[in-house]
Amino acid sequence: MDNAILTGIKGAGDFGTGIIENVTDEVLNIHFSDIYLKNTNASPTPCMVLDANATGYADRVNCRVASGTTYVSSVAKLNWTGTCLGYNADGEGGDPIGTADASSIEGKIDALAIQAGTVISVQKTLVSSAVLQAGVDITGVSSAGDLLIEDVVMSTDATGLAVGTNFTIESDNANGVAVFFGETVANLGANKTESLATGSVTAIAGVVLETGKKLIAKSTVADCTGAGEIDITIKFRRLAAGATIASA
Amino acid sequence: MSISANYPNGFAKGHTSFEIPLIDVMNSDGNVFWVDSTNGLASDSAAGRGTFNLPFATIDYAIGRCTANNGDIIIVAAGHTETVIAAAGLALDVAGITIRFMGEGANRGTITFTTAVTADMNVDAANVTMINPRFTAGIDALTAPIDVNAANFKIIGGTWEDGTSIDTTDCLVAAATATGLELHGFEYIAGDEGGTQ
Repeated sequence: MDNAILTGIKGAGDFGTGIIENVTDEVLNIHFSDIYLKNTNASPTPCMVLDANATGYADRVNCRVASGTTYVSSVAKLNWTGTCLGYNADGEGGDPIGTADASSIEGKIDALAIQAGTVISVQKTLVSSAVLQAGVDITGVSSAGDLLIEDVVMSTDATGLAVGTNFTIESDNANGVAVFFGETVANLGANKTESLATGSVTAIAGVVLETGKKLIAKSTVADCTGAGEIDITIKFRRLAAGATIASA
Repeated sequence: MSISANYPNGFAKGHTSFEIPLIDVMNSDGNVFWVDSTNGLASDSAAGRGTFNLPFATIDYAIGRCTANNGDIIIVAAGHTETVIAAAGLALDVAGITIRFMGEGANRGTITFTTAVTADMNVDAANVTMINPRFTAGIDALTAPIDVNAANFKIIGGTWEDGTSIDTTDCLVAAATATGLELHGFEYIAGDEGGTQ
């Protein structure tokens, strides 16, 4: 259905896939304008599902989803004007759909936000019984560049960790030492707060997490047990623009 | 002061006043056929029908009376209802026709899809235009009631309406052959939003 024109389209409901879908073969040279869609699907599900190779123009497209920011499954190869907006809450002004041009103000702000030297943080909560000698991932693997670990802050709940001898955090870096933080499990009982500098067993500041690597928590001697929790917050500084990492 | 006149047999070739078309869709050299299920004299069989006073009973029959690429127009009267109960139950298979639905809101000429989830209207000829149509779902989980397989199909000012406890899976499906599809002003109206479309 190449060369289609869809204007003045309005639709709302609980759509399991999308309200406007291009799912079988990419549509070429499509023209969307004055589109008002609201998908109440709680998953959430985007308003428009587009083939990644679809081409054309979109103007005044408005997509309200139940949550998140995936207003369209893919911006594809369409050009989206500045009046294409996505929404995930009542009363909000909208979030631009489409990749911001690098020369635009928004594009420049986006570039500044992830440039080398900026900070990114990751948080992960572990239940004591999940902290094993074999290890449990705190983060996924990093990408797009190295990250300097500036600090790690740990806070336990009213129960905290139990059993095991030491609680450690290590990387799977190719170079350098693996374990850069270690504290006794006994010191991570109820309502304790520790940081990278206070590790009584191991405390190495200034560790670089190599790109493509991750952080792992372990216990020594025995697996930890119990339902207590430890919140782990890691502060990274990007050493390359766009370097990123997320919790496991 | 206004002057009015009624021509109950319609204008078979359209009508203009001072070269201005009185009804936009009548600005055509083709045939003009009326369809009106609410008219007690409506019939799909007798010759000489298709006028305002002696309309056809179904759009399907009127399409069969049209000539391809002749600029023919079918006018669907306000309040007309037509039901599609099976796959290919209605075929828009004459190229170049325009189907104009009269009326406003729920009083518009209406096509209802029901009985089978595969009930559909196939658009199999090129350059077909529907103006102001109202489509309704009479059954849950219709899979492709408006099935567009030909080029340059156009809907201007249409609505699709689900009923209570009815959630249409896909109300309009366009094949790769449906190049140049145009929807100008089309609204999907969910029913009670109790399920997933």
